[in-house]
Amino acid sequence: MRIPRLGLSEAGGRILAWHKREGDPVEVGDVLLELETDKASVEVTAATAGYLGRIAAPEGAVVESGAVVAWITASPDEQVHAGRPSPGPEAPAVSPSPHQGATSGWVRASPYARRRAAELGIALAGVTGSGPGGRVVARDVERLARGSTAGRWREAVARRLQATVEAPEFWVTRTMEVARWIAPLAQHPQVTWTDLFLQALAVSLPAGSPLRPQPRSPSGLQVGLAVATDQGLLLPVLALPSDLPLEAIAERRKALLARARRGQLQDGDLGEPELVFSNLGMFGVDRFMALRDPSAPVAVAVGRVGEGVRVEGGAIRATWLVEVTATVDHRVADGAEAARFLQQVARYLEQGEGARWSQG
Amino acid sequence: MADWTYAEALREGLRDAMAEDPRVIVLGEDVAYGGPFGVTRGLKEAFGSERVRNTPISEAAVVGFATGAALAGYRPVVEVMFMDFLTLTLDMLVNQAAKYRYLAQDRLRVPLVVRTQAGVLQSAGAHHSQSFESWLVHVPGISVLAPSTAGDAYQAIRWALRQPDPVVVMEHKALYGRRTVREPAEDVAAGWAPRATRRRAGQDATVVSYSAMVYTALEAAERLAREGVEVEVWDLVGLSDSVMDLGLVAEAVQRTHRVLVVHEAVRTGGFGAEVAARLQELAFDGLDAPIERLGAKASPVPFSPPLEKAYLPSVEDVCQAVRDLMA
Amino acid sequence: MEQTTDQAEWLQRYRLMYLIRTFEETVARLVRQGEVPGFVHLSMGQEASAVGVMAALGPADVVYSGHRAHGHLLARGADPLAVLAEILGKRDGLGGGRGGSMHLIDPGVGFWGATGVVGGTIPLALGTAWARRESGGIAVVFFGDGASTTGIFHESLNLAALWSLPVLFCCENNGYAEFSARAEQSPVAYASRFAEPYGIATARVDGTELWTVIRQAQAAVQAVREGRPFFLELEVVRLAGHYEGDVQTYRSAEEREQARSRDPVWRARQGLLDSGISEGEVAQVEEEVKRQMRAVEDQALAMQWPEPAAG
Ligand SMILES: Cc1ncc(C[n+]2csc(CCOP(=O)(O)OP(=O)(O)O)c2C)c(N)n1
Ligand SMILES: [Mg+2]
Repeated sequence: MRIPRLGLSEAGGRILAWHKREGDPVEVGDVLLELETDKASVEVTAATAGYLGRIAAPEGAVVESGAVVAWITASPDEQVHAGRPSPGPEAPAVSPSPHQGATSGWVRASPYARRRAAELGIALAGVTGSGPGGRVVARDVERLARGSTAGRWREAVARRLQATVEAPEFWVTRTMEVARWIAPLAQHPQVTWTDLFLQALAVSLPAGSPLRPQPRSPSGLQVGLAVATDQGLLLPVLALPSDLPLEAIAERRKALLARARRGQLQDGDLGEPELVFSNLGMFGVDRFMALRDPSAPVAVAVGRVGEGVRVEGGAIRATWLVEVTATVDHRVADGAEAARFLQQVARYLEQGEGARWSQG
Repeated sequence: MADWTYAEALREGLRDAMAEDPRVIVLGEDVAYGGPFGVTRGLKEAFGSERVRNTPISEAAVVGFATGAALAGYRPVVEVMFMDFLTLTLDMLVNQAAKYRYLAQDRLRVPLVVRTQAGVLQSAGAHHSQSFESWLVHVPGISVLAPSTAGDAYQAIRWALRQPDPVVVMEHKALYGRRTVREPAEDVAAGWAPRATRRRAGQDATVVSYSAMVYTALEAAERLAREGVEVEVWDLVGLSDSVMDLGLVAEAVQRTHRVLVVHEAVRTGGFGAEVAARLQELAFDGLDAPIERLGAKASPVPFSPPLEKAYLPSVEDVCQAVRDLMA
Repeated sequence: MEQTTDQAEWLQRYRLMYLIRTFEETVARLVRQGEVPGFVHLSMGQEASAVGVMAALGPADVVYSGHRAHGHLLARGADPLAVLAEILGKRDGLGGGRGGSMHLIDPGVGFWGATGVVGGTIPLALGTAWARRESGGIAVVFFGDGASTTGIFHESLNLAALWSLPVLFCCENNGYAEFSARAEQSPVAYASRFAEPYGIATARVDGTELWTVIRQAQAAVQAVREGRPFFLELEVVRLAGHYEGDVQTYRSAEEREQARSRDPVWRARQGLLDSGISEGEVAQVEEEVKRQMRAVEDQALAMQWPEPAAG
């Protein structure tokens, strides 16, 4: 049982809790453990059924993705001998001697590396050894620790910022009229402006469009939702097929946010976003620029939906307006393409045949 | 005197001790004529042939005699010309001298000093080159010193002659002519005790040695420094349980996380094994690599110069061992 | 009957011999009872040698011995209780239980040590003799005929002669080294012959005859006090096995019978009776010694074992 590759990060994370004990039966999909990554807390589920054998990485341990954290065995009594990992670069070395059965899962590591790992809260099973014969030595632990302990959240944000600062970016803002949505949204209190904007984005960025040249997932547009939690800024990913009804969007979004706030994100919640969406309208913000993720060529920032005026043919008309700002990676798209993208969004919101509701 | 040789230092140690304490006597083959390495030169002239006694070639009987005289309150210093001949004295050292204090419950003591000369130099060959310290340290009741500098050689003699129990001072034939600066404080005999001494500071690896190999280690450290590896070199000076304190060396291990023990004696069963065992006891969680040991090849000491050269750990061997440790 | 000074002294010597014999009979019995740890070599048949040589020594003299040392130590005046306690491995034994039968040491009575290594103490006596040359004391070392084939024995003879050391070599020749008779050990029948080429004065005496031993030992000690070594060979018998438990299949019945006929304790007793001391007086001494040994045995057995931490 290895830590899956979690979205954009290969750094792995810290095991917050094990949900199964050694010897417990395990079904495919059972949540085995909660992992805190630099982006979120993730529930890691079982990919095979069987019995949880030896746990190699205890709670609190920091593990790299790909690290063996436990073994799933075919029968409960296989436990003692379990832990013979499949051969592979990250497989912890164990002696084939039957006498060593109880210590299977043993990682070849120097005593000093063990001490440093304990001090830094890092699971040796998750460390790739660079010493003779693949032995984990102190420098391996320390290298991992630099990217994985307490400062992880801030470091992650800094890394993202760094990555985006290094990229050439530009910003495009467009004011959109959303008066026609006031009544329907009022009728569907479970659906929010965010859901509406999300649908607009999903519809406006079909696969192959300049800002989404290669779709990352068949499950639809991968929208990273910037969520402020107690633990900091998270970026769980919502998969949005372009035909998803608003209620379904609302439902999925809420579930995702709830998981994010509870720190219980699952593997699928942590893909690489194609677009980062951020709405600060509820805080009264008129306009802002959202930070992209290095993997997303565009970030969309939505401000407050408020009453304003439009002048049409010299006549002033009161209506409801919102400012939408796109942060665009210039290496992927140019200004005109970005403008056309916002035009699409505006067209959907202002003139489209109307939102897709699941009923009615 | 600005500097002195190792042999001069030993001689002065004996001379000063004899002048201070009439119970100190010197025995050995040819000691009245200075001995083959000149260490006892001039002592007979200064103290007479009653106290500087030439002996027949009877190593066992002489060490036994000295043990009996020590039991009666003398402080005999026996020179066993080559450590190889220590085999002949082992019964006396191991079964008699080392046991007395224990068996007599402190009512009898054996303040005996055996000076002997070990080590490989200039094709002395299979019977005149060996280092047997690990045999001696295995015997509780005997202290073993292996000084590497003139200052420590002087102090080793003075210290040994203050002990109430048997001490073997292991000298090295390659060191007798080595000059070192004479520190003024070295004349103050009373304060000295054998203790591990840092001969060079460094943060990447710790090399532990004693006797002549200290110099090989220091040379290796200079070579490694040019490669960017800074090696700390420790000189144990005292080897037996009674005099060995690896506390400071263990602290060094906690800083450098890598240890190499180097000695002239054959590696298997050599003293390095004891050092390695103790350091892992003291600093286990400070070790980032297995403790390495470097010693002579598992062979009788060869005669022919190229064979002899290949037999001992070389400067390059030490360098390579450290590089391997750093891998 | 009024005892003369001589008779009182003789009775005293006999008492010591009888004590050694009774002591060792007690040890032999305790060995059979499983009370004695380790190896025990009894000196039955060698009591006259021990008591006779000690009779010639003064308090400044130092005695060393070998593995068959009980008699030497008791004859030198050690407390039988402390000796037995040590042989039993008890805390209040002579060496705190550290040494046992083969490693008895009692500097208080000038007994500087037995040894488990044949020949091991011979050169020590040389050094001690030299170191104490001005104290008026000499050093004496007891060893068996078997020790005369070791290298250290020969080195020591050479050194003692070379340096004119005041040392008395006492070779107790009981005809055996463990299970091997002298003839199987050396072409030289008597160890004292080895001393001759070094120019060391020698004497060979019947070591089972107390009064002969005393006289000869006195002469030897006198010579040593004058500053030269002396080699005294004492022809004794070994009435027990090499060690306790030795069934002695290598000895013929006749030879053992012959040895018994030379029992030094019996001969000393005969000598006392011949000198006019009454059977009653001798029996009384014997009774006192037996009573003393019974008390010693009881006390020693009741003693505590040493604490390992204190070792
Ligand atoms: C150096 C040595 N070799 C062998 C022995 C084993 N050993 C103990 S007593 C003995 C015989 C000694 O004979 P002897 O010197 O005549 O003394 P005895 O036993 O007859 O009193 C031997 C061979 C030993 N103790 N020491
Ligand atoms: Mg014999």
